[in-house]
Amino acid sequence: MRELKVKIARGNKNFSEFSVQEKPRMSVLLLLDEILETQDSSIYYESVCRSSICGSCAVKINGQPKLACKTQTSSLPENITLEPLDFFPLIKDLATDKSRFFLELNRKLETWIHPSKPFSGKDEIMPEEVSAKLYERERCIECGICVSACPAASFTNFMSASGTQKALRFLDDPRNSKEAQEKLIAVLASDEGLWGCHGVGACENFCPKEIPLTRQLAESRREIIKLILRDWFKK
Amino acid sequence: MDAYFSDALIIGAGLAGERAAIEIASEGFSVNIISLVPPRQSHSNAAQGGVQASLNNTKETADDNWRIHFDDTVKGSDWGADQRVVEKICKLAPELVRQFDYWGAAFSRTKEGKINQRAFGGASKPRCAFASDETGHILLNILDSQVMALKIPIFIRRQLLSLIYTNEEVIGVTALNLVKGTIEVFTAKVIILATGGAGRLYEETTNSRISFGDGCAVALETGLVPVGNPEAIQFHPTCLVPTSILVTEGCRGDGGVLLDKNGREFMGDYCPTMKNPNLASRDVVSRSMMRHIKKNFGVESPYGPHLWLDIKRLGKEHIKTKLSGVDLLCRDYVNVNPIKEYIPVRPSQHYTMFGIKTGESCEVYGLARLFAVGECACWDVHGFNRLGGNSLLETIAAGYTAGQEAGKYLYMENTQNFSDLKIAEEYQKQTKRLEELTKNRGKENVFGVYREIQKTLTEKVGIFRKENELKEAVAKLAILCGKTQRIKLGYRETAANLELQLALRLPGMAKLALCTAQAALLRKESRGSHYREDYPDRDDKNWLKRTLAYFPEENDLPRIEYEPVEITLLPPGDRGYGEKK
Ligand SMILES: Cc1cc2nc3c(=O)[nH]c(=O)nc-3n(C[C@H](O)[C@H](O)[C@H](O)COP(=O)(O)OP(=O)(O)OC[C@H]3O[C@@H](n4cnc5c(N)ncnc54)[C@H](O)[C@@H]3O)c2cc1C
Ligand code: SF4
Ligand code: FES
Repeated sequence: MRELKVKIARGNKNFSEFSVQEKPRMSVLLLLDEILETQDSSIYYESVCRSSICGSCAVKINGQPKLACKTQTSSLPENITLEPLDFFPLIKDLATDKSRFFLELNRKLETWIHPSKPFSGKDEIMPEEVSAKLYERERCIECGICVSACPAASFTNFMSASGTQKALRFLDDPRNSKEAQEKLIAVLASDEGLWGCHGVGACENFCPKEIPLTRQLAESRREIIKLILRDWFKK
Repeated sequence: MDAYFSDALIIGAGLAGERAAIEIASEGFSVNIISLVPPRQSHSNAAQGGVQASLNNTKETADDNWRIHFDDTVKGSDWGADQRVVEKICKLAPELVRQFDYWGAAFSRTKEGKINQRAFGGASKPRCAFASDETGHILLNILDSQVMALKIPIFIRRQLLSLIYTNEEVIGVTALNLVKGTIEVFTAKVIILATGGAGRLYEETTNSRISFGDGCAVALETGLVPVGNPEAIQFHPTCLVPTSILVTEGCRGDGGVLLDKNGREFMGDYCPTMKNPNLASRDVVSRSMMRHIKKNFGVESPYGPHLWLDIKRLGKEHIKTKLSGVDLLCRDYVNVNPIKEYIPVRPSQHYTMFGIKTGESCEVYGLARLFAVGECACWDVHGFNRLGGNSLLETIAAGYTAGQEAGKYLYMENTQNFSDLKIAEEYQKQTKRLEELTKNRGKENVFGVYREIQKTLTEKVGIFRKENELKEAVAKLAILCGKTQRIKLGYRETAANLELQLALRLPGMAKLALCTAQAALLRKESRGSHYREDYPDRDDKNWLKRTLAYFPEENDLPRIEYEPVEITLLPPGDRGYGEKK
């Protein structure tokens, strides 16, 4: 096993350096634990599930945004540099506050069902394909990687790949009211939405849930155009 | 001092806490939630397999009903469950699950478009509703979307430290603001604890890295509130080796099987009378696996011996659609492609049946205006062994029930023993505690003591238990309890300090661990997941009762009491798994 040379960002462009004996099946998260428990208990990072389902542990690993719990040290060179995600406000060292961004995004898009009828207590029928599609669109874990990796999301008002996923998910849901769906079409059709994407593709390259984001963006543009045209013809 | 007031205060933003919040806020009362982490990161998010409810949506469940669900649950619990509560949740289940569908949950569907259902261990009907194998993620997202729609404020990055109470009635809590490093006070007319399980008491667990059992420990530390059945801990049969990440029981529910080093199905050796022995209850499967490993049928690995889970027989299409999360986990964490290869698995800690003891309406024993819901509570749906899919059900049923009860309290507007003096005192006490810790008078290393607590429970209070080891565990944990009071910190800031956060919860964790060891030592029988090699049989004559562990501040050891278990519909009998011991 190798001797890893680890550099950890400590705010204000400072770094601390550690050397750590690599272990079999060591994730970057376990590497951080090792440093915290045996070398320097002042380093700060966040983690919850350690199984790629909560998104809390996203950091930059040798410049690339990744989940610390999913990334194995064996996939990295001996020299490992760890930094916080770009774009989000820094809490300390590797921890950033992504929750405010996602809370505001969800509030803005109103990513909840606006029901058009009261709860009946009975099963509502929904075709298998429809629910499967909703499920696929809901796999995002709000890790923030596609936001921080995307120049459009970071520097323009593009709502991010995660945001368009969310909007599409509630647009596609037959349980959501017509008015709510129309609002979603309007944002998706704007430069905050699907037309705000510059096609860089960083989102899909780095999404830890392997969501085919660029393909979905392209498909969704076609769908939205169809929807808008349909509404025009109706008028 | 930062202080916040609301009608209701909820500690924890997982399924149980958020479900309760929605119930109360919908009545127009103000609700504050505090949580260690953003709500959607709560560990409910990691639940995979599904939620039990007799929906009758498939051919196989056409004749299912609440009573069959009830019988399955009571047998699973080895008659440790409170039958009044089990009846209540089995009856509530279908409507509560359909309500999630109404709110927008993306449940997997049948060909006819109804909510689909799958088989789980110990369930005589395949009744688990699911969303592929990320059911918890889907449910928590949808519940949180309702919390957003209701604009319920959530104070995140807060660590509950203590309860504030007067005359055996709670009035508030203190919490550490993890970012600022300051103590804050939250007061309310009713308080609901929903802090989740305590898997981190063990070295190997499927639980999240924040499942420390904080709420349970804080309640225990009042000395007034008992922990119910602290010896009742579930070990899940199929956890990845290494990492202990869970592989859902749904794998076996859908037709996967356990194999030994010779590629042979062995569960039939241990449950010869069962039609599908791979789907016996978790306690039985975990014990059988460990017995098989002890007989040298395990596969050697650098991470200790393990067995195989075979799901490749289900085919690529099934895995990619109904077990896609498992597929990803196996590829990412153990470098196994489950479509072509076997998955290395071994039992590890999974669920705490124990918890803050509550009555039928989720009210906490010993303190008024306080409720507890979800995995941190012992409402006693699960007794000594929980059935898969019943925990998600419990979170929403308890959240709903406690929310309703809390609402009643708030409507009544009866006077609370509110005391500014008490609040100031508790704030002082916690501030002092922070100061003392950062002055570094002790000499014990936080992580060292933490790891020793875990090691002691893992080695001596695990799947198989016996008298002398349990005695050693009690003695060891009593010493560790003392050490948690003499911590020396390497880093002494109060803001954003992982070491300090652990140091603050460590005394409570050690006490909780001691309750587990002590209760396990005293219970001289085997029931569900509590298996005593020296007392291998269930003993209803002497032990059909529930442990209540109290830990008054002046005590070195917990005070153990018992209460009767409520038997209303199903008298004790055979569980029907035919376990060969
Ligand atoms: C991997 C895995 C898979 C599972 N799969 C299933 C399944 O398929 N079916 C099933 O029925 N059950 C399953 N379970 C069990 C079930 O998921 C849990 O029991 C349930 O989700 C617990 O929910 P909860 O709301 O009680 O707690 P959690 O979801 O754990 O939430 C706890 C909350 O409390 C907060 N909190 C904790 N401590 C503090 C503190 N000190 N201060 C402030 N806030 C605090 C946390 O931030 C969090 O918001 C599974 C469990 C695991 C580990
Ligand atoms: S879409 Fe993928 S990368 Fe973006 S936040 Fe969601 S999980 Fe992360
Ligand atoms: S810790 Fe949850 S995604 Fe890494």
